[in-house]
Amino acid sequence: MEEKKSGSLSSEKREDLWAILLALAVLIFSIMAPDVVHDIFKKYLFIV
Amino acid sequence: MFSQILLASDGEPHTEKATDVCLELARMFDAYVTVIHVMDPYLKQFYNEIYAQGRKEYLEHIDTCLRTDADRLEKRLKDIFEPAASKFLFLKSYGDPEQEILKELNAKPYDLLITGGKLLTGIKKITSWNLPSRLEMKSPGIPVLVCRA
Amino acid sequence: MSFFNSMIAPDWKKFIPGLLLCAVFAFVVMNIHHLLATYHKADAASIKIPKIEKKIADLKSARGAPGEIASLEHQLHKYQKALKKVNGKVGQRWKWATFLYETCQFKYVAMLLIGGIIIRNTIGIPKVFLPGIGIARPLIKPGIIILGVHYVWSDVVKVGGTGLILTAFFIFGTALTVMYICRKKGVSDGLGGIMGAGTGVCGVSAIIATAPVVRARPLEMAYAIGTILLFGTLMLFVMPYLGQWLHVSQPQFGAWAAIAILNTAQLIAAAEWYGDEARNTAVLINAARIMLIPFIVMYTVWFYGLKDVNKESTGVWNTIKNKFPVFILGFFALVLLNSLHISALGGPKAAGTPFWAMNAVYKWFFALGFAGIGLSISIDDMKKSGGLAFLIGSGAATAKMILGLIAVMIIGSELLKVTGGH
Repeated sequence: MEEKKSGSLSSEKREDLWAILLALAVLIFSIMAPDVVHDIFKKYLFIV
Repeated sequence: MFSQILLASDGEPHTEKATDVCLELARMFDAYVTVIHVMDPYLKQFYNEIYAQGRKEYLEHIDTCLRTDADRLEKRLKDIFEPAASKFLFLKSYGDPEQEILKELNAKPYDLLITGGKLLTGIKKITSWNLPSRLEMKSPGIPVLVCRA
Repeated sequence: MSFFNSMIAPDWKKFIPGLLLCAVFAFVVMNIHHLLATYHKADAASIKIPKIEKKIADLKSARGAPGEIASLEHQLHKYQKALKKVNGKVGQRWKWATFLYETCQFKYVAMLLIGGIIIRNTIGIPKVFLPGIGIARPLIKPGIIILGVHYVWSDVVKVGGTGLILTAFFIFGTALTVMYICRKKGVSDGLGGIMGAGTGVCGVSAIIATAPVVRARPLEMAYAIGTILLFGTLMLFVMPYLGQWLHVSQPQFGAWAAIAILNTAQLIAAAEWYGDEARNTAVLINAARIMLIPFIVMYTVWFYGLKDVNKESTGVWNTIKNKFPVFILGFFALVLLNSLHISALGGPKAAGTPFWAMNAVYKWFFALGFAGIGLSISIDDMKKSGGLAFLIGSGAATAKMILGLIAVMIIGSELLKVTGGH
């Protein structure tokens, strides 16, 4: 019981910060190499 | 006939009848009564629902509810059973009710499991979660008495 | 250092198996979607190419406008490319692809959700995967933030404003009505409170935010959550088809869904399924409505005249601070960047620009999130719905669906359409 509680301490804030960080990472990569990011997610990830 | 009775109670109104029947049988057979109350943390799994805010308070609230409900039920059933049954034990366990009740049923030589349940009509017969019939299906050869109310 | 430590959940390892499962599931489904889309485009191209060729020939012989001819030739080139992708010839048909992709609307959203539900409820999911599946759901958040590149402030003001008024009306209308009826009928404050908040805004999320405040009983919560999940899932599958049948326009559908579908993930799933414009409207209105969560909590506290359980979290400002979904600020930050029209950042449709690249990523976050949602929809949880909660939930859901449809029909498409600055 106790263990679960500590694991979820302000987990919503952590989750939100991660979401912002991930989006920021995508933004930075997109600024550095837009074509590479685009091709990875629109071409290379589709194997069929 | 019944010297060791296990009563599964969640403390809800629909287990009242089961409690009465258990009390009657305990008197009749001078049986040992064990009540198992499972604190089901089922609701905790929803804590990280997207956008859910105040998760810590939510989880604490559930634990507090489970604990106070269990304590209240223990006190109430002690008052009922201790004068009547030759031996009375109140077990609190934590986890999935179905698994915990079956674990207890397999652990000790019980003669009977008594449980309450809701009266099911129409579509509810198919769509209800129906723990009593699950217990009955999975019982290790121990008779199950379902008192629906 | 402590900040970095607190960014990592102490038991993070338990999330890995489930996350991997969602990633594999999303990867497979996205590829199936891509395959269906490619053959569907080829099928459409195969019919259209001869028609366009004829039109161009007619225009050329009649000395038509060169601009029109050029645009037709551009279209023709696109169709030829689509056909070439599958090495097809004109006249060749792939009716199965059109049937699945267009008629059945069998897109990645539907495949992930329906597939997830089927997997979860037939073969089942081993327990080691469950924590990771739960944590995959919030991955739609970065997707939502990235979608910020589709909006400019005028959209936020127009659509967000209309949406905010619309949703605020429905949220507080539903909450007030449900709480009032519950009190009149002698329903406990706990159940009345969570059902009022839950049917008003964001479903289960609102139940979680308000349950400790109104001190709802566990059984009441189980009933309420089961009911909300049941209706959410029902709406998610019924509304896109119903919308098509009633010829609801895309922006209107986005707004309608934002009123009728409580769960954010299910709302975005339904709108994404319906189309890009519907999704744009729904995401923006949703961003407006989730900011109302702290207010619905305060409203509930006020309605029931309760003091918050935790002393530290009392007060208006603390409630807003504690219950405000921070990530939505990321979304608005991107909207702001997009509104500044910085040429170096481009736009979602300007090839080779950063925002164009970002727009390629969001679907993958959504796919991961939807995989998590599909795999966590358990029919057993819905079976736990019942009691009064079911009655209240079904009444509120039906009322919102019908009244919401009437409202968006009156408002019309224009006020709900996201322009993206164009």
